[in-house]
Amino acid sequence: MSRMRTPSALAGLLLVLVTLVLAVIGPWLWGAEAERFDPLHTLQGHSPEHPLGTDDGGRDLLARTLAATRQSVWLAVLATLITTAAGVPLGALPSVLGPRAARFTSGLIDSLVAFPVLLLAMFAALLAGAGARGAVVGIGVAAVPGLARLTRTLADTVAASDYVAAARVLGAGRSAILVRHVLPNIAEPLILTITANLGYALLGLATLSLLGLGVQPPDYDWGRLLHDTLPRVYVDPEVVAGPALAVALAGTGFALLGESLARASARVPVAPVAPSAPSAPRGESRTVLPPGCGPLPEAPEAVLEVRDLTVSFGGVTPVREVSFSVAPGELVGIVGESGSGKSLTALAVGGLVPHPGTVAGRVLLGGRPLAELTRRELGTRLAMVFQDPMAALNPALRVGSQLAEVATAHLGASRGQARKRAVERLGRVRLPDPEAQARRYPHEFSGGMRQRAVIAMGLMGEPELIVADEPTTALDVTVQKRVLELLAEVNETTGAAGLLISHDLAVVSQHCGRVLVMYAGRIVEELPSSELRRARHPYTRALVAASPDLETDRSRPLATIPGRQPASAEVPAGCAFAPRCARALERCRTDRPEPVDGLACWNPETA
Amino acid sequence: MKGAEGAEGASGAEGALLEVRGLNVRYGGFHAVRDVSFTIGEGEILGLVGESGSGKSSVARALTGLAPRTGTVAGPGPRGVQLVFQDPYASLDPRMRVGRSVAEGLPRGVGRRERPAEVARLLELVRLDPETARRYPRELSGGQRQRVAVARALGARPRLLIADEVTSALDVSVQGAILNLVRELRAELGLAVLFVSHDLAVVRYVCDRIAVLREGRIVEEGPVGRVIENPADDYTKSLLEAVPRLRLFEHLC
Repeated sequence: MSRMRTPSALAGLLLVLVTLVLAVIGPWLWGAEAERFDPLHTLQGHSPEHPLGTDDGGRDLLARTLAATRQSVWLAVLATLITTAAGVPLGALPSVLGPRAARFTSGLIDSLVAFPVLLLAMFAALLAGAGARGAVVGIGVAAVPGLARLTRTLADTVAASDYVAAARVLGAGRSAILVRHVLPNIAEPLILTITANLGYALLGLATLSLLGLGVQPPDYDWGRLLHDTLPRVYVDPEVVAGPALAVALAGTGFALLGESLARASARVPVAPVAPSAPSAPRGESRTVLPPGCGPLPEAPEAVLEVRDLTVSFGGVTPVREVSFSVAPGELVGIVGESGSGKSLTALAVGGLVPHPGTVAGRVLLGGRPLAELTRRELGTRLAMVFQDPMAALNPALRVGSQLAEVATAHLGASRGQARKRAVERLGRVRLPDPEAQARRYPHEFSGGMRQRAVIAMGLMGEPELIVADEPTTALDVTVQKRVLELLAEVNETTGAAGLLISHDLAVVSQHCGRVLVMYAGRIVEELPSSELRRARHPYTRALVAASPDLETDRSRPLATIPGRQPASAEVPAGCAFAPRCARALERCRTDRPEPVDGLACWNPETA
Repeated sequence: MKGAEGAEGASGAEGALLEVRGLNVRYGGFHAVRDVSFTIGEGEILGLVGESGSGKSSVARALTGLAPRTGTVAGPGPRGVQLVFQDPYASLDPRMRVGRSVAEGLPRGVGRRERPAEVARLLELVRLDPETARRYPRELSGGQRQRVAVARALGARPRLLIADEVTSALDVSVQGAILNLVRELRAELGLAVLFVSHDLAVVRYVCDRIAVLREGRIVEEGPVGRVIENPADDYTKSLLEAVPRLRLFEHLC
């Protein structure tokens, strides 16, 4: 519940608790006082005995306000019960019924939502009769369509999930699915909404009583008290304060609590925060230069120079002391499994680590630190290509205009020049008839064409570095090959340096000269891709052995790697791969091997 | 839909467990699967290969009643054909303990008292510790979740398992274990498998026969060795050429 520690959530919780306590003890403690007639002190303002004054019967208004808590809250609860009892079943009905009846129910919910709420409330109230009963039914019914629609939407999402499909294949009936899968998975958001609804019902009922349509004497709730005292507001304003404040605070309390709960449950945790030992003291005591000081073994000709790059989120460090460089015209691959830190490394190179991540170490682009480059320089000297090309393209703009925008914004080109350049670049990524493609929208492109357009967009400047993070993972194999060939060709012809991030060893080995293998946030081996089959690090070896290709021996079981990669919060003190490694020595578990000659291993493979 | 529940062998070829003839799947105006016919023998693993939009997942869903179909399907009844989904993060109810998810597949005949033992047996069948039954899916890795999904499907005692891209959401180091499991289950239980995948290298490793699907039609079908080494169809050839391979400059090893 740590996510609930926001001021508004705490305020809501406090207000609701106070209201509930008062609802229980109010009538006991102040009930007698609130009912006591005192004909000598009627219609009084503030006095020491009656801080908020008295009403026309001489009854103390503070006591009446406190005692009215139970009635006010109770009516709101009743109204919300009506809303829930009608709204949730109505909304859940479509997922239980057959397709035709489901469509009918859905249509009914939609038309109820379109119906004016006030009219609905008044109609229901009229049918139920005057007074408190009519008010409760009216307020309760008015909220039914909204809750029904929410329930239906939530239930639809769950009903479309794979686990419900799996249950259907296993022969589970509609009502079994509703009870077993749908209701438990939508309960949480529903409860939150109902809590917030309580607040709205409280306000609605107070409003009706204030208008004289709700609670009738001798009963009283906050709204009724307001109704009785309101005519005196210009003479003794304090007599209105009690019920008005009570309604406002209690109503706000429920609404705040419900909405904070909803927000807290909707928020997805950013990174797994697991309790872990503070980063290995043994490792720290080794002679590792702190990032940014000491002589840098800089290769002056490298386009990209990364030294001791470390990315952390709170106490979690998914990328640790990563160092590498990329020369002009070279395409370097980074391989790793999910959670190895490869994508975050790519983001850090592009200066795109999301908040609240912190980046330490040095990233030099063309010899200059990334932080010193202006946005305009970054936009033209660095190109990024991501897995989903649709996310990089604005669906509402023509492809040509989007490309041209890069030139007008970053290069100060005129519109005509920019447009010509865009068409030329679309041609360079081998899109047939670039003139016509420039006039089309992204959704008219296939996945492969979109990724080409994104690469063309990167080429609008004269990029020195192209970072491609899983650029073909969403594409078919036949398209993947052509896009990767294009990327390699662009590198070669423009002399830009390239960084290709992929989970697929074969992809990287085919198109990159050099491969960096990442495991648990660190580079464990750096080797020419032609050497992958003779890798020295046991992890690289195991990865190669586990990847089937068209020559794999079918008569034997595939090689597997036991265990799993440690989450970044639980990386052990020694070599992170040691617990899964067949060659691990005692030393591997306690001492982390530093990379020497592109290999971080105490007991490398030899043959 | 006639014959969908017909007994095996009613109209099937010799030894065929499942016979599909003239299968069509339409979603509104979109014709996803066109006149697809194939058979799967007892204990055979048939690979269904194709790119996105080829209709391979539609075939899988149609055979398990999750997509509307026309055509003749003769084979085991509904519970006799079970489906394992691509994404093990989506195919398990996050609010159910593993044991309850797996028990969902058990036949009604299995009494309340026998269930825990049966769940334990199924978990052991997929090489998971029976203790896993008490955990929630979020506590498991992707590979472990996929094993749970397989165990749940096996609970229905299917004779045919349809595996729809079961390894494409998994890491390489885990993928191998799931592929081995599919082959071991066939050997241990005589289970027939329809293995749907876009990855030719994976299909070649697991399957006995391959059917190549393109735009809703089967363009080539045959034994794995023949299709991979000697593809007859141009599309199959282009698929094979596109498979990425580890680059080897020297063949010393």
